[in-house]
Amino acid sequence: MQVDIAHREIGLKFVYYGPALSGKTTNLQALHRVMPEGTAGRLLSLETRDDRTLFFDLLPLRVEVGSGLKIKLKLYTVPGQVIHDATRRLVLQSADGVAFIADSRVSEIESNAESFRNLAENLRANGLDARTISLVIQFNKRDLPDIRTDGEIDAMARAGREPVYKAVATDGKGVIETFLGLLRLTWSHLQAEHKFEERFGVDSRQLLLKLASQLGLPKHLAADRDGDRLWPPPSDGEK
Amino acid sequence: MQLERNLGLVDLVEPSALHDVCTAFRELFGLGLRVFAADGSLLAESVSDEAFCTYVREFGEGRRQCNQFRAQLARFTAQGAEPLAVRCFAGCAYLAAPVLFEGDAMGKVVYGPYLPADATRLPSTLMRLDTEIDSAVISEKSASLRRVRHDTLDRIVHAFQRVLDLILHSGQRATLTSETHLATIEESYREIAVKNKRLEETTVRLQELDRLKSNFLATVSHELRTPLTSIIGYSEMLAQGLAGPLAEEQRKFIGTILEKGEHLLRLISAVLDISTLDARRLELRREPTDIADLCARAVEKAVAQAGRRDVRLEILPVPQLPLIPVDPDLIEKALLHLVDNALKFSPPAGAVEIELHLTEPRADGEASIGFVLLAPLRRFLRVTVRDAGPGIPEGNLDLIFEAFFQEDGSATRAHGGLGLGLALVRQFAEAHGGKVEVESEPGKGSAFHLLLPVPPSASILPGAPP
Ligand SMILES: Nc1nc2c(ncn2[C@@H]2O[C@H](COP(=O)(O)OP(=O)(O)OP(=O)(O)O)[C@@H](O)[C@H]2O)c(=O)[nH]1
Ligand SMILES: [Mg+2]
Repeated sequence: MQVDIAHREIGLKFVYYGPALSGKTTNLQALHRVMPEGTAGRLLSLETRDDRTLFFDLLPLRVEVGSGLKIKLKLYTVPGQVIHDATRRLVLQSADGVAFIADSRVSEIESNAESFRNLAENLRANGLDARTISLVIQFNKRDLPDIRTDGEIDAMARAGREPVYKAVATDGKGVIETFLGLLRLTWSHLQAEHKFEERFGVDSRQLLLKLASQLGLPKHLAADRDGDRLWPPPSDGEK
Repeated sequence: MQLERNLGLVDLVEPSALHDVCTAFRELFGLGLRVFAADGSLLAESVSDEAFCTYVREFGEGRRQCNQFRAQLARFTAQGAEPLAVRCFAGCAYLAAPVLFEGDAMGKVVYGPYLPADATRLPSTLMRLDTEIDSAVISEKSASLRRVRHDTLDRIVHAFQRVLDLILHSGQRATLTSETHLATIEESYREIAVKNKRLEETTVRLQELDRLKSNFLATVSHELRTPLTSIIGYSEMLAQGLAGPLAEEQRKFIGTILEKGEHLLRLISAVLDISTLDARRLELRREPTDIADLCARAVEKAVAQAGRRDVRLEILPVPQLPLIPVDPDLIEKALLHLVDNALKFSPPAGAVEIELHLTEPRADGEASIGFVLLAPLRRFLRVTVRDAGPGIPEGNLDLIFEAFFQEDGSATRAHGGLGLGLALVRQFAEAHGGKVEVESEPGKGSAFHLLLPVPPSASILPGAPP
């Protein structure tokens, strides 16, 4: 996180992590499609071969949330292929939040778990902690056959502690929910730690609503409604 | 590497290439331009010598003021995204437009000199610069200055900003690519170097340990076996009557010595086995296995023993179970040990039951991180062997899996054995990534659970109907 008090700017870094071909790049592409020009910069895809990310993708977002406060978000993807571990570790440096994109197919359970263990390890190598970093999990590719059932995922999500989202990234389904979920979670963690409301004289709920609307995200997702309300984040008991 | 490092104009563009772009623009629009970095340093320029300027600079005071103005140009900064127009002492206009990249000002472009299309007069101060200055020449030369309309200027600025944006974007891509590439190589190298060093150290240590261990085992086995072989040998000779005829009573006693001696020899071999059997070194020959099948085989082998002790041995109805990849020999041995153990401790006319069950993934206490992703690996196939024996006191529950642990002196005498069976069961289970657990209630009996991990991909077999 970078805070520039003089220019009233907060810079946040989100990293989309997950096994190879789980749809990390597709998530960023879908987000880029729905966001208005001016808010989202160009989607930068560094070095790809056969559709596989070799270095990373980067989507910069920039939002004015009122009271002259600017929020700059940088969304990165990592290369999922096992051999690019060093690059993953580099991209993960000083991340403020992580969206873990899992492949819903039963055949991918093992590689999801492997990638998650790898995430925990690389977070540790960067002085971060999987237990405290803002982390959401997305089960992508819900449109494919032979996937883990909704019931199964719901049951696991209730037992687990990270917010879980289901998505079809190729259709843009669930992508915004995942992103907003991560934003909400990260903001609440950072607010608790850095007291942004007091320092910048902003109201978290207003700010997140504004953010969502400026990012061109559907109103109903930003609405103060049970389930997907933005602020305060639903507590575990409510989920 | 710092991906978050703010890249400046100098990092992103090649000044000579930028110069070429500026020149092309000047030739196309007839308007000079200069590009400055955020710190005011000039990166590239393409400005033609205007006849007007040349004339003004022929005069000492004109040259001085012109130089002064040019130096100031570097310091003009527009506030925000809007361009700022300024005019020089001689009346020429310049436009300073910020270079924005992803919303950040990275420097500025100064366009000019030009005359706004609606400008009518040059400043009157110009004529007072020098007594020699000729107003006719001034108006002749100023007529050749580029006159630009507002909207044209806007379009030029916009066009240049877009070209620059593209250049910066490519520059950013190239810079990030090469920096990431380098950093990745360094990071990989660092990682490999660290791992190599650790591996080397470990290898040296392991080799040393291995040597010590083989030495120790060889010595122990020799030291233990040599006297024992003598004992057995002499007893055999005695039994064969080589030292003279034996009375019936003596023959019986020597028979017992022989039998116990051989038992001891087998135990020593088992001790050596267990010390060489390291769970991590155990080589598993895994194949998809029907565990219910293995249970049935174990029961078959133990049924005679059960009959001798008048204990009922049965497998409870088996639910649908997946085939799981285990080493069938080892798991069968583990099952045999458990059954043998249960039979040993069962009271006559008691029962030993075997039950198979597929556990649900469950959260152990507080949900741990990544539970949704990791938990599916924690599904187990559980084989329970239940007896109605004396049970195990609470304090001993953790100890019974230790090699050589004995419940108590009396049990040892009553049930024989060295307490190696359960230690082996545990090693076999752990070698498979599983575990063995025990529940017991003194006076009521014990239940041993052998838990074998079920890989998520394992498919369910149609089982026997309950
Ligand atoms: N059917 C289906 N396909 C998807 C979905 N999301 C992504 N894909 C496809 O999965 C493939 C891989 O997607 P990417 O987004 O490139 O995967 P990635 O996670 O960036 O992969 P790496 O860069 O190798 O780590 C592409 O062919 C996508 O079209 C989805 O929701 N449903
Ligand atoms: Mg990718």
